Amino acid sequence: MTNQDDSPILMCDGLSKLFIAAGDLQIKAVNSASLRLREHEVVVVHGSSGSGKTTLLMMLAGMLQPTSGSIQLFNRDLYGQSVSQRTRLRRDQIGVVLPMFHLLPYLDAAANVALGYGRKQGRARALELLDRLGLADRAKQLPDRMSAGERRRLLVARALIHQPRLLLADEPTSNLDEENGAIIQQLLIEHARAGNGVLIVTHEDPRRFKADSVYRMSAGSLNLQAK
Amino acid sequence: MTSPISIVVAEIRYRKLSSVCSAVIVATAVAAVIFFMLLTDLAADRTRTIQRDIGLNMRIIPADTDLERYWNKGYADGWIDENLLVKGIEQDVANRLVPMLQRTIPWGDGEAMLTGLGDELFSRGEKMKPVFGGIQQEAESLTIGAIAADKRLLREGDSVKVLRRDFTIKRVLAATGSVDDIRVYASLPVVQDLLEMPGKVNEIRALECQCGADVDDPEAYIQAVLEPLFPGTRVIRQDSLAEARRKQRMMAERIGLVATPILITFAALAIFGLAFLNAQQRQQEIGLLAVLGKSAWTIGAIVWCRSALLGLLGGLVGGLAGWYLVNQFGDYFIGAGNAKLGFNLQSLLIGGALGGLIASSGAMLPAWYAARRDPAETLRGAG
Repeated sequence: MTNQDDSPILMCDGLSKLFIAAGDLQIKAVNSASLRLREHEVVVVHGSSGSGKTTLLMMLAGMLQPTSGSIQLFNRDLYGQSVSQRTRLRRDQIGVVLPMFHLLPYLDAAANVALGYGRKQGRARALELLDRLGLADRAKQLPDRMSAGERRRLLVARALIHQPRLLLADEPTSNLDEENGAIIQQLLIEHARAGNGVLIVTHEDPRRFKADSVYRMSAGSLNLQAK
Repeated sequence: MTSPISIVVAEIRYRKLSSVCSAVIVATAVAAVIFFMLLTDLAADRTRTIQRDIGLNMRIIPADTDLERYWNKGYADGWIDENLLVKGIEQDVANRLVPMLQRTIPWGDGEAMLTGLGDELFSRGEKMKPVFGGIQQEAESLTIGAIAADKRLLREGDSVKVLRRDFTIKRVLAATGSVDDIRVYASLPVVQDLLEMPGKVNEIRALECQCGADVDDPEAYIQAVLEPLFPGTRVIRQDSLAEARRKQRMMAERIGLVATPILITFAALAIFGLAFLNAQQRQQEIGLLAVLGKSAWTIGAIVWCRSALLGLLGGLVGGLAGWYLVNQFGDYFIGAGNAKLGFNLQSLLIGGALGGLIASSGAMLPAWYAARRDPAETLRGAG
C-alpha cells in the first residue's frame, strides 16, 4: 500500500531533546532520533513508559523545540517556521491524539470534537464522525458522563475531523477493550490508506496497527525495528 | 468549529462558584461606586431644594467694592443711599432686607466693629418677626459681642463711651465664633451720626431669598432680580445653611473621589487573582487549545472574555444594587428628607461599563500568561 517513491511527508534526523532537571541534572529524553513517514503509511514508535515517545511526538507536532536535529514536515523545516505558522499548521494539516483524556469538561461530545475543526459546519462534521464511531447517541453528553472507551474515541474523532495530512497519535488505544481498540485501529489505518501519514506512539503490541514501519524507542534512542 | 464565545459561556456555566465569585466582587465594587455617584447627585438635588425652600442669604454692597478688601475687613468702604431701600418693597425674592452701616473703630486699647442696624423691611410689607429683633437698639443703648465684652470686662448695664458718645450696654451676646463676637451694635441713625455718614449705609442684607422655582442657579436668579432694583450696587452671597449643604455635597464628592479608585483597584486586583487562578486551573485546557491550533490571541481572548463578560454582568447587577442602596439608605447619609431617585438607566449602563472595564483590566495579565504557556509543558504526561 505504500508509495516508496514519494518523498516523506515527515522526516527527522538527529533529533535530540535535553531537559535540565533540578541540580543542573541533564536528562536526554530523546537522543539523535531519525524517522521517515510517507503518505499512505502507518508508522509505529513502540516503547515502554518514560522512553521518550511523547517528547518525540510533541517535537514532531511543532510544540516542543528540539535541542538539536531537524524536522522536515511537508518539505519545510518545521522549526524554521514561526510559532504562529506552526499553530496554523496544526490547525490545518496535523491531527494530534493526546495520551490523556484531554477534553474540555464543559463542552458536550460533539462540541469537543468540533474544537478540532477550524471552519464552519464543525458540529455537522463532528456528528458524522461520532456516528461512524458509534457515538451518535452520546453527542450531547459531557465527557465526564462517558466511559474511557467513548472518550478515547472522542479524542481520535477530534484529531481526524479536519482530515489532517499527518496524524500523530499518542497511545490511541491505551486501556481500551478489544472491541473499542479495533474500531480505532481501523479508523487510523483507513486514514493512512486515504493518502495521509499516521504516526502512532504506543507501549502496546505494534502489530495490531498493521504498521508499515515500526521503530523501537528505548531510553531516548530510536531504532528502526521492522518494515 | 466551536466558537471561542461558546467556550467562554460553557465554562462560566460549568464553573459556577468561581464565576459567581468573580461577578460578586465586581458587583460589590460597582455598587459602591454607583452608590457614591448617586449619593452625590442626590445631595446636589437636595442642596438645590434647600436653597429653594430655605433660601439664600445675600448681601447688597456698593458696586465698586473691592471684594478682596471687603472680605479682609468685613465691610465695604463705599456707601449706598439709604433711600434706595424703599425699592425693596417692589421685589418678592427676599423675605427681609436689613440696612447696615459698619466700620472698624478704635475702642479702648483695641478695635471693634461698630455696626448700625436699621429697621428690617419685609417682603410685600408683611409683618414678620425681625431676625435682628433681639439686638435692635434704642438710641442710647448697645449690644456687644462676647469677645468685645470680655476684653473690656463689660457686662450688661455697664456704661461705656464709644467714639464721642456714652451708651448703656443692653445686652452681651453669646460667643458665636464669628466676626459677630467683636461687633458693637447700635441703631443705624446713631452710627450714621457717629461716623458722620447721614443717610448712608454700606450694606443691605437680603435674607431668606426664594427663587419661587426650581432653577439650576438660584444665586444668579436672585442677583438678576435684585441688582436692577438697587442701581450702583452688587449682590453677593453670604454663607448659609444651603452653603453648608453644598459643602456637605462637596465632601461626599471628595469621599467618592477617594473611595472610587480604591474600590476599583481592589476589585481589579481581586479579579486579577481570580483570573490568574482560573488560568492555572485551566492550564491543561489551554494547552489542549494550543495543540488544536488555537492561536495565542484566541487563547488569551478566551481567558480575558470570561472575566470581561462576568465583569459586565457583575457591573449591571452592581449598578442596580447601587441605585437600590442609595434609595434605601441615601437619606441616612445626606440628612433629612425622603427624596427617591427614579429608575436610573444611566447608572445601570455605567455600572455595566465600569464592571467590564474593571474585570477586563484585571484579567489582562492572566490572559497574557495563559496565551504564553508552553502547551508541551502543560500537557506533558507519560512518555
